[in-house]
Amino acid sequence: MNQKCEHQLKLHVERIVRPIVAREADKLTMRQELYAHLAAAFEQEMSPDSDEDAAAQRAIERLGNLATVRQELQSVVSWQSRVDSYVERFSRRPHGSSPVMHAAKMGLTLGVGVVVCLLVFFAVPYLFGVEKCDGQQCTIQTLGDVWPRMLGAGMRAFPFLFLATFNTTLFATAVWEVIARRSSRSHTCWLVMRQSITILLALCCQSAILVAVSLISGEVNALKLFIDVLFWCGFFTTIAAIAVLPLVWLNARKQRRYAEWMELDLEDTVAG
Amino acid sequence: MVLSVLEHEEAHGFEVLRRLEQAGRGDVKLREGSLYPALYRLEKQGLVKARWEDGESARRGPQRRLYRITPKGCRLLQAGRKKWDVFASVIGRTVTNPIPGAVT
Repeated sequence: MNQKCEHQLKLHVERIVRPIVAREADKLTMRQELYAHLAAAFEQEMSPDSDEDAAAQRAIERLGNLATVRQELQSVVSWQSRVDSYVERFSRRPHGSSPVMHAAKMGLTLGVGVVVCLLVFFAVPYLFGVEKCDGQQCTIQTLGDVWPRMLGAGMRAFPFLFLATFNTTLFATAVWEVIARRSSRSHTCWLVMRQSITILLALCCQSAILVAVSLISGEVNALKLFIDVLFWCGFFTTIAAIAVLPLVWLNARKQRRYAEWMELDLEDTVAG
Repeated sequence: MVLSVLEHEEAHGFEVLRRLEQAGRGDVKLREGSLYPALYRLEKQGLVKARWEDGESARRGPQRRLYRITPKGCRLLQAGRKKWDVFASVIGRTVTNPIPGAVT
């Protein structure tokens, strides 16, 4: 099979599979299987004197209408696979967007999401009233009594959640780039250096902001506070980075296998 | 139909299709794209099990996924066959020996 026909068959497969809402691993299975099928149909359609382009076209026609095949494949995708596909789409950095913006988006979404979930989780019992005993006196507390305290705790937790996610995403992006793109050694060094400086700068900025907030709210001894916050931010970033490293490594290796499909341009009308 | 062609030997999608067409002796023409959703559905129901072809295979070309029937699939196939035999015999009797005096 010449390269043009191979490209034509792959493009047809990608046109069927790319819009399907499913886990990337499931979509890769569909791609590989449909392509293997088309390649076999192509071999069958080829006779010694026949034209390769015509054989490829006949193989494609045998597969059936593109929209129908896609619809049928979509109908067998499990709900777990659909949910996973939304998570994958959310956590993947869009092509061309900056790592810092992506990290900020992740930090903001996860920070707000986790705080809201925790607030709802702790607030629900108070809707029905919670009995609190202080020595011999017991009172029933409702949501109206505790919401200012809860909101305050949420506001304090948010910056740390945001920063931990932000830093971890920056780190994960750097590792991803190195593994998924099979970077050269010099490019890897440059990436590691650039991302380390970015993370360090981010840590300093974050610590400064947290210290400023603390000073406004009446804390003293700014230098000690700055060192403390810098230490803890760095500590949590390191822990989170170590925790996500195996996950990023595995996903980045998988990404190499998707790359040849993702690089196909669906608007390519010459091959299609 | 798919389960019956996988009963004795595992096969990849294209081979399943070829066996089905061969069994139909030219009377069965399938839209090839509809085979894979059917296979995925059977796999999800635990009636077939799939594995990727060995990497050392001497064959050129893209890697293929081989399907084989599971014990659950075998049981369902046997039950389906029995149901089909009853159905075919009832219809056969009715069509070939109609009740005398019945309006057709």
